Amino acid sequence: MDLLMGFLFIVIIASAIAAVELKDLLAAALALGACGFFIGVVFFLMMAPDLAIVQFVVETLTLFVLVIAITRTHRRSARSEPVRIRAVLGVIVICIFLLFSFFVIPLMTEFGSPDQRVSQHYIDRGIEETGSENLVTSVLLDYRAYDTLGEIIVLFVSVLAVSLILREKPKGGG
Amino acid sequence: MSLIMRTVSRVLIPFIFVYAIWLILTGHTSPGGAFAGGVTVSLAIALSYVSFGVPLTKERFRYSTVHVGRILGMLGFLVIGATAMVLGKGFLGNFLPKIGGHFTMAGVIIVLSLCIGILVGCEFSLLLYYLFGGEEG
Repeated sequence: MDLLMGFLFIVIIASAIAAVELKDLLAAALALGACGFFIGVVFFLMMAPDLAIVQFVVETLTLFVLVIAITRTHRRSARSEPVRIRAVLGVIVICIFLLFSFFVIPLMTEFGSPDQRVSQHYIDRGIEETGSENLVTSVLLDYRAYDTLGEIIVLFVSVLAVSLILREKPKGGG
Repeated sequence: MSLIMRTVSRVLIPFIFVYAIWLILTGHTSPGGAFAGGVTVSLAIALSYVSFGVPLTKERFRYSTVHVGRILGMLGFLVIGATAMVLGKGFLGNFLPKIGGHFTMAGVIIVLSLCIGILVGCEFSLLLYYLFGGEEG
């Protein structure tokens, strides 16, 4: 199990690096999609099927939108920074990340044993209080329904903004 | 697109819709949920766009239908929340009886899932609509 996880993480990191480094945009989008799908597999192996399903479908839609957008537009090749500056910047960022994780990861709680005790209440009383066998749904639509309301308002308003930008221009200028 | 693509899509799209409805309506008993179901609806429409072409798909899933759908989803969610408040359970409280049975065991949760499913499906379908060239193309 740990071996499989390690392999998956290596594949995820490799495909993420490929997504950044590949010159061809279509290939980069596919590498990004592979990264997302392997993250979905990791969610599934960590016994979070709800999250895995959402990850898979959202990844598919994102990949579809990216591929359609890439095939329907033209672009000119952009001038990139010299390799040496990018390498130095990359090393600095990785050093900062490793430094922080060295100090922070020992402070984190162990995986699967959260600090807050409210989750135990959901696990114990969730089915009788909400009637939902799936605890994720009972949290999403009962205990934390306000959060869901906020999420769908965000989605609604962002699509509203997109349709304001992309709407058909009124006839006769203006 | 090619004949193979069209034939396969004609068979596949109804099944994707059924899967999406299953995800939305059984989110309270099995993995899935309204958001995943809604995105799956828009994925079926995306497949229709690439296999049947843009004009036919835009005729099937009209701009006005999608727009009415997302407003209905949003209004439905708010109205159910307000109804619970009127009945004295607090905003978005669970006011329906939780009797046994597959669909009615979670009370108001399934109605809220339906609203969110419609809303999310219509939102992403609208995005696809704009991706494929707005209101005329």
